[in-house]
Amino acid sequence: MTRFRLALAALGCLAIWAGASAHHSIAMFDDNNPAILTGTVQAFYWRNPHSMLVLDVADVKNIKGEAEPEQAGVWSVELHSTAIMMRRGFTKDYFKPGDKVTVTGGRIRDGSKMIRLFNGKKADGTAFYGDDFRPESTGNNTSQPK
Amino acid sequence: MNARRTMRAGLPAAALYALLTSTTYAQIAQLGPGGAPPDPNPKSARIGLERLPNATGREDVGAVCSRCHNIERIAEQRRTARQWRAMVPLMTDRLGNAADAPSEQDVRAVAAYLSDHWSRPETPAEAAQKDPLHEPDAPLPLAQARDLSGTWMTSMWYTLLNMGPSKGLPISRGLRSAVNPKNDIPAVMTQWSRDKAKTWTIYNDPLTKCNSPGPLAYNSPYPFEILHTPKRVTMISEYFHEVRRVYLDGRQHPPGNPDPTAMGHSVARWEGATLVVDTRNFKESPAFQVPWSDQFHLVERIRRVKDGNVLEIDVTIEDPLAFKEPLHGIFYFKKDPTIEFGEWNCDGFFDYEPFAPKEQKP
Repeated sequence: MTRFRLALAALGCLAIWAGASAHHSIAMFDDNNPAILTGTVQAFYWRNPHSMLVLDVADVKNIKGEAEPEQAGVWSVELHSTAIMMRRGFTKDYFKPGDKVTVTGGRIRDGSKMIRLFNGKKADGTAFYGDDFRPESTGNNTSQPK
Repeated sequence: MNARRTMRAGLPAAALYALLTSTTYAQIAQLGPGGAPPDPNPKSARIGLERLPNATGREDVGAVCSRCHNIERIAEQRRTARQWRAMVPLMTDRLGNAADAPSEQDVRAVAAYLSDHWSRPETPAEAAQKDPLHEPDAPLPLAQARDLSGTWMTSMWYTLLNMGPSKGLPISRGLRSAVNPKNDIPAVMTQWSRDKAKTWTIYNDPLTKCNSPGPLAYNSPYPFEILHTPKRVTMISEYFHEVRRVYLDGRQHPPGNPDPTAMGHSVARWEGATLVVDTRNFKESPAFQVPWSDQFHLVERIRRVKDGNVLEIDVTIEDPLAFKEPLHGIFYFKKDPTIEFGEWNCDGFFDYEPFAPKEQKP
């Protein structure tokens, strides 16, 4: 936890009182160390403060496309609050158990199997988006899920 | 007309290309969409000049830059000082060696003005040194300026939350020390608040137990609504369903903090077109990452800027028990009647532990 606090202290000005991302700071996720996960939806929690997608992941890659077979397993993918998801066009049934998805997101810093969603794709090619605050992405992260 | 349109489309790409390859605009002119013709009507090309701060060098910007494009384009983008210093010579290179090309001195004046007065900070340290960007009051009749009603959404999240462009919206400035802007919040926390924050983790964050985030709930990626009635301003945040009642009927704070609350007791008065809201009578916060005490004193100066479409909230916080120095920040909100409010309830299911791997729980 100390690592979180240090990271958060560094971004303290962003993170006070409901600062960066609703109830906790996005600083707990390392956007510069994304994981690309391909797997099957186990559960989708439509809830506040943040919705959550739980995936059974067989295929984990880093951003360079290198496989990380030792990282396979059950991963949590953090999404946004229901209010923001609703405004983005998601619904409570957007993901169903058994759906195949590929998602990319920043890994949580403590090494747990958890990411915060940048973007993803369903098996039929439908794209969906979370928050991607990386400078190289903020210019074109404007599509809405349909 | 076609040539101008081509130029409009071509310039950003050309600029990017130039930055990547160190090619001058003169060279690009030979390769790409052709040189920029001087504007036939320099006066119209100065549109937007009034949006830049009035300081030495602004006239040079008007004279030099308007030869190829209007000033609106500059007013809409803030680059870092380094980017301006690199971009201005690249741009003026396009005019080549024409007899009336701007002199080196002019180019230097333009680059100096833009990097000094129209740049965004490059590093957090630089951001800390910059003075807050205060916008002028909106030119509205007083009765209209004093109506704060509407749905407001924090400007900094527009682009990030895919809610439309934040272009042209002023940039908020987070809370820092009011006396020494180099000091961020962790730097001014007292031992009292440090000790209190020590037990804080992401898994036991009081917000995950439904504790109120306090009066600054609007500093979040969620919209809020203001209902403005004659004797009261009511602020309703989507975030946590927080409601603040701000009294305009001349009442005072109840003396002696008889009923400490998470949102405090808010009274307000008008200073011209600015609503000055004073909030006291807080209760001590739980062990937040940044905790506060019952001495928390919040002053917000709220007004409409940018033709009334942007709400500016200038925040000053004193809490001698929690902060060694007062804090100050400015937040901007865009008026957006299209926003549909969702429910942001706290049912007590804020439990992150099921998602933390067993062996790594705190």
